[in-house]
Amino acid sequence: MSETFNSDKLPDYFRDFVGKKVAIVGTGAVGSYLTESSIKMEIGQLYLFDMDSFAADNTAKHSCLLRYPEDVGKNKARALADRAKAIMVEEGNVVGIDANITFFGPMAFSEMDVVVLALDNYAAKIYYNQIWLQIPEKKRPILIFGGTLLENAQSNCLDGKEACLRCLLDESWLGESEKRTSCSGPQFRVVDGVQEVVKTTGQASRISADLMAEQIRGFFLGIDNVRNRRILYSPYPNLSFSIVHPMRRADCPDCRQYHPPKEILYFDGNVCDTTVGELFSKVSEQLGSDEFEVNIPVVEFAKVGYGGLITSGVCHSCGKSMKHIYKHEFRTYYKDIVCDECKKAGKEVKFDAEYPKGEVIRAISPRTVSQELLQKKLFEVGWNVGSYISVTEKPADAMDVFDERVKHYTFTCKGDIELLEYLRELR
Amino acid sequence: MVASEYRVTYEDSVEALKNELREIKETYDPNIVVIENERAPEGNLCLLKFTVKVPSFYLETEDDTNPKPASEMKFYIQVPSGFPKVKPLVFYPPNHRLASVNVFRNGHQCIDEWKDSSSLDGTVRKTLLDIIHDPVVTRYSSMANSSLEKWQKQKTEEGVLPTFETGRLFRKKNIGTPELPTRKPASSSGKNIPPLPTRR
Repeated sequence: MSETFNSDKLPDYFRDFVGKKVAIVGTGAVGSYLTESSIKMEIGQLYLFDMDSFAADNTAKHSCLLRYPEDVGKNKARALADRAKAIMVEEGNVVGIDANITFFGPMAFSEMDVVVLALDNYAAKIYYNQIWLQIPEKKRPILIFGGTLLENAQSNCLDGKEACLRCLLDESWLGESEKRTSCSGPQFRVVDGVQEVVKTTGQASRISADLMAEQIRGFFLGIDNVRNRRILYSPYPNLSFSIVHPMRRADCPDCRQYHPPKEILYFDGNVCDTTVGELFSKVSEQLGSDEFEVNIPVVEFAKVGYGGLITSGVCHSCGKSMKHIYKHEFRTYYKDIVCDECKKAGKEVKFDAEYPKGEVIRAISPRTVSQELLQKKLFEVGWNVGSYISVTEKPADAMDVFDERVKHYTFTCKGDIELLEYLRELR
Repeated sequence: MVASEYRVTYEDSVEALKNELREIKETYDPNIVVIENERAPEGNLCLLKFTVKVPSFYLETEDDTNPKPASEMKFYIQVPSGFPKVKPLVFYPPNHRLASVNVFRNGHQCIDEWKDSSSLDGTVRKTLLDIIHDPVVTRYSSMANSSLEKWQKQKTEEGVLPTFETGRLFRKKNIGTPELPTRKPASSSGKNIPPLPTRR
């Protein structure tokens, strides 16, 4: 036992938490307080995810685990992990990963006990909800999410057997779902048609984090009525707590469309180290055939589905033709489609010019893949850490997917789960 | 069935697509709208070719702004493997694109925002109505090809457009007239009619 914990003063059951795995996605105000509570509960394996840097003016709302001025400019997850290591239990480990949550797929979280979303935009929450619903039910972690609204705080704990995250949201809130509403800048809301700045204290964030910590603790202790409950806190003048049992929404699109595959086939390796060529060999070995297509992964974000690999186009600065681009639609901005010469010259994208659309492919196969693409790593091409790799076995003379000989398989890289132990940055 | 209990697997998606295609084939008059399956390119579930035997107008190239009369139009619907999360692609042959403000210069049909409620059936219907230039689907507020705006408005005013009666696109359904139920004969003596309650 480390000197930071005195077993005479702390509950014995904390020792049982040492072997638990908790992921905290978003280490802003709420996430930083929750990290502090988690390590003080002796949770032994913590995985922190955030793509933001700690700014000076975050100090007033974040946990004091993050220090001013030493941590200013550092990635929040990594800085928090470094600070947390100094005080957490000896047997424990905390990993800070500088990455966007949209770089991860279902299996990345399949060995977690709890995943907490402390995110500031609905698009990212729904993205996680969609990958969470695709985790096989036996491996699906508890999902906790919440936040603040003015000085009100809430936390929701779901086990996947009843409502999902999206069931608890009003679809009308998802109009500008990718808009970020807290750490990255002032929070705006439209009230009675008028846009106003919403100001929230660190106290509200701390209370939200504490509610989440209570749900984690209750779940680990096996307390009844922790799962599938929402805790709401409202401050003065009428200080109150309430607990509700949210119900599944009949028209929830995520409940309808997202679920685990019937069967998952595994192969060794991870998406950061495995090339497309190696993937083809592994699939060919498992299927006993070269007549297959590997479908480019589909990512749904802010209600738009992105499922293509951009192979060629034109430079969005000088208009010159560009080949061998090989970037996934979801991860590509206009500034990424700029030729090397324009990049070196520091030329900017011309947003007002009309450029022809590039060529986009939706699958690759041993028959038609280019040599350049064979050398690319799966992550570069668009497969996320822990994502499913969709393969269609299709004889050369099959017209379309209605041919009964066409079969569908779902693969995943076994090594993606272990990747989280040593991943520090993903760009 | 409660929507949330209906979870769509890949196999379900394919089956749902098959059912939707069957329904589409049964909706339209096969003498007017001919639907054929073509070889699907890589990464696509299917490729459908529609031959629509109606008068219309077409353009020959990307830069063509002079619509020419046609006695039939062909278009394709390519359904990608990410369907329904990823929208289908609707396009015309390069040298025979529909002359409409709803069709981009590259020959791709504008199919509006793809939402959870969007369907292949809705996409086919909109495209067919656009082929006959039914004004109900013409989007002057958000044109894919604005160079045809003046032509299309003028032809609509002249009565040249639409080029075909919308109802004739659909297969006639022979429902027949259902039989009316037979009336039971009333009792002549009224013996079986219970008395009305009396007021106390």
